[in-house]
Amino acid sequence: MKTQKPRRYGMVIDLDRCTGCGACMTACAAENNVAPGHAKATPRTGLTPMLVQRVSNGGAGADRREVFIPVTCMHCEHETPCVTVCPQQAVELDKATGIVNQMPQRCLGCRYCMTACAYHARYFNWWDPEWPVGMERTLNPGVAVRMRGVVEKCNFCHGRLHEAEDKAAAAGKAEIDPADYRPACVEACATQAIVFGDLNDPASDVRKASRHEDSFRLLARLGTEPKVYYRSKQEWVRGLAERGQQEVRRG
Amino acid sequence: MIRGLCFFLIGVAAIQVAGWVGLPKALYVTKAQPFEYRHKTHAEKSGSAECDGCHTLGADGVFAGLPKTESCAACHTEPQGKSAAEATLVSSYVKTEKETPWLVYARQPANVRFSHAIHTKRAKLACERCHGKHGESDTLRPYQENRISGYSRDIWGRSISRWKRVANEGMKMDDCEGCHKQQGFDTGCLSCHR
Amino acid sequence: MKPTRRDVLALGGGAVASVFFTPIPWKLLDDASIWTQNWSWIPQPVKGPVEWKESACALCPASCGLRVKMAGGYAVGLSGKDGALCALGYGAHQMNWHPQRLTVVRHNGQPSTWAAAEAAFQKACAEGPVAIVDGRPGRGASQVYRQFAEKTPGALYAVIRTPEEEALRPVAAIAGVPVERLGYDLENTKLVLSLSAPLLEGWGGPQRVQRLWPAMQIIQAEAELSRTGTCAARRVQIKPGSEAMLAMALAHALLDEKLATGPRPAMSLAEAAALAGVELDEVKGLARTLAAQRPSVVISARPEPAVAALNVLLGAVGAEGGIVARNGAPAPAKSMDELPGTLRAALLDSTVPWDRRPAGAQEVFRFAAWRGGDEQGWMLPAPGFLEEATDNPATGARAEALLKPPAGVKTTVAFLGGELPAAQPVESAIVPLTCKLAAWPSAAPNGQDGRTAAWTAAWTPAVLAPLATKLHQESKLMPAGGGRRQA
Repeated sequence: MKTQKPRRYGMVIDLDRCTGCGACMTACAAENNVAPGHAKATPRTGLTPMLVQRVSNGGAGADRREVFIPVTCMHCEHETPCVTVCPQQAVELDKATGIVNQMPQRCLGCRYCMTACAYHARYFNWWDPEWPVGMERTLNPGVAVRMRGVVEKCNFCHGRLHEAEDKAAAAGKAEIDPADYRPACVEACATQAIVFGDLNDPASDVRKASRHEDSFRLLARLGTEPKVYYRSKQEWVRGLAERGQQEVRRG
Repeated sequence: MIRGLCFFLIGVAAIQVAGWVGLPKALYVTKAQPFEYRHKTHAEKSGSAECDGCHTLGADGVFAGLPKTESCAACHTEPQGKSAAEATLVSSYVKTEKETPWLVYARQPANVRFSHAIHTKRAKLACERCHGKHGESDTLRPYQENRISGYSRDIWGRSISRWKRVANEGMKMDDCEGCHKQQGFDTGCLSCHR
Repeated sequence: MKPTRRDVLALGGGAVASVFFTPIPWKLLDDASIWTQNWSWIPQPVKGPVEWKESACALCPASCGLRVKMAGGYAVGLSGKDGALCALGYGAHQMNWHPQRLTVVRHNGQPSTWAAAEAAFQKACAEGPVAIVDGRPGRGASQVYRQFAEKTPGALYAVIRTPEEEALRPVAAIAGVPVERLGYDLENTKLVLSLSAPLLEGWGGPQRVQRLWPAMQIIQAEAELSRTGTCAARRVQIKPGSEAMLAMALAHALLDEKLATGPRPAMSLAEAAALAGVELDEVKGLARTLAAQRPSVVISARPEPAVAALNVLLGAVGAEGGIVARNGAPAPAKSMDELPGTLRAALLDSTVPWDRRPAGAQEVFRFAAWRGGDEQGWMLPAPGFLEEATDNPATGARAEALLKPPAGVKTTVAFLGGELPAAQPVESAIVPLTCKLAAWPSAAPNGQDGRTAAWTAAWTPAVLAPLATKLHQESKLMPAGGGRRQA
């Protein structure tokens, strides 16, 4: 009996194809049992493991250009900042899949990882998750609900990876079918802007797309080797990659 | 001095008794199952002793767990005898189409992911490896619930010291990890948590 | 022997020293940590094996195919059957438990009963003309409404047209076919010139254009940058409300360049281009692109006679990849706006958007699964998402209900005393359509008359946003409102 060889899951998001419809965000929230925003939640204190940001070139009228940037956990590979700083070993870079996974039940809630993350991709549960009466019946059984006081983030829909593994095991296979494992945001994208797969697999679309000349990574200069790539044919969009969030907001 | 030592030893003895004998008694509460169920009788009547005859594993790897009331209703539309269990099954569950709230000996916390497909199909583990000879039992053994955590005593194991456990005793993370390490399998958090 | 203080201390010392050799601290620590990881007040998913079922979404006329993840009799996840769903659709299964869910009859904002509503409706039917308004014609339920209207004296059947259908009305007038039979053959279109139409924001069914784009080229002419404008291959800046002027300028340019033949608009090229705020060269370039990239089509957000005429000149009407006619469409019906000025009552199906009601209706009986709108008249609780059979008007396919509706809910069909007919597949095919433009339409262009606001209101979806979509709204992704996050 053998187990599957190590993979490096990653994604390439084509920004020229993103229409900013937000389906990825809703699909992500529904898949991962993210509770409705608390009445007092702000964009900083709410939970958006997948967040589509709208960024403009600062122009006006006919010169104005905008782009939508879906931001999620980048699953950094080199000295992953959140893993390095966690005093609890609640985050780890999984050797088998390359996914940076967060174990909310082990989390102390110190939020050191949130400070360390350059992408603001981590969120703290400021409130207990609450659904309107009865709506807890729509919770996805494949993902555990988190509690107040812990940090959470994108785990590349690991519940779906589990389902794919179960299916492969039931069929007596050691390898999962790549078509069975697609995170919710990837599946939800009507324009197929997000390509997901194993970056180790030379035949995968994601590997080819990640090596395309138009592809880039956000804040690559930090050297954390993110596994989420972006691509755009537009020069000014590629120019956003190395700018901090504050700079981008100021235009 | 001797007298002081005596009292010291009495203190030691008292707490040892309290810890090893009193604690398990105080910590666990025995709960009754909704009604009596005989695995043995059902296996004989159905002519199949295979666990997956009733606890099915789908082609997509989804483990069905305990059979639903509608499966019971296939035979038990009316009481099949005069036992109290039959009466309870038919009146409280079959007639009302409610699911039986069984107390599951092996129930794990919500953040634990255990794949029956991987363990039985790929690793070829027998059901008895974890569940013991439950399938041949003629009665449902007492379900002991931990007063603090709310989970079954089976998770920790019969023995409070966890010393010299038999193979199917104990289903804590240590036990999973022990076997995974021994067999050289992945021990990433993600493999068993969700 | 009397114990002394020293004895008690020795006893305690013995107990403390030996407690670490018992399971007491270790076991209690372990249990306590498991307890803190599983607070009893944190909601837990339903137990039960997961199975996937197929259904269709009833939120909008697009009727997207669904794969529904079911556990313990509840829907716990949604996925598109052929392609992705929209942002609203992915959280739709949560909507049945929305706090605004309607489960009791309400009259003018006060709780009431079905018996009272039925009595009031019968009284209204006896007294004078009532209208049954259908938000989505062509379903099994629509047949029941039509039959009710036929056998009840004075009753009328009317439908709500989508903004896309409304925009095709001028084409229908020129071609002489009912608007119900017209549609855009976008699947074969190479280039779309959109005049402020929100193509990528849900136009023509949430994901239809998104699936076709970017293989299909979009040129967006608009006054204010929209999401479609952001994504379009090319964006043309025009003055607000000047879509018709640009269409007329383009017609002149097509005729000047000998790319089409036909009548000319009365307004001159220079005047139209100036009103639209577009340079003459750009207009000519656009006209050449439209002609070269055939099959191309011009789509406007609002009904514009000038745009219809431009499409005819371009040869897009009746051509593959343009505006085509089909058979198998629902029988022509009156639009709600064409109903008489005074009506005793109107019964609105749950597919009718909240902000729509016949202007002349004295009493309104509105079926809805969620509370909303002005709550004037009767609010009748209807089945929610996946709680009733869903018909696809285009194919006639029916998806049966997957979930059990809550008590106190009734379908419009049951309220009218009818029975849902068996599903009948619709034989739908594109039929030839020939269309000639005799004269440039004389109707006044739509621009700059304040109708933009009315049109936006008509676009509001018929349903409440699910709570998960709150995130989506909070991120300010929806059009208008700047789009920047608050710092």
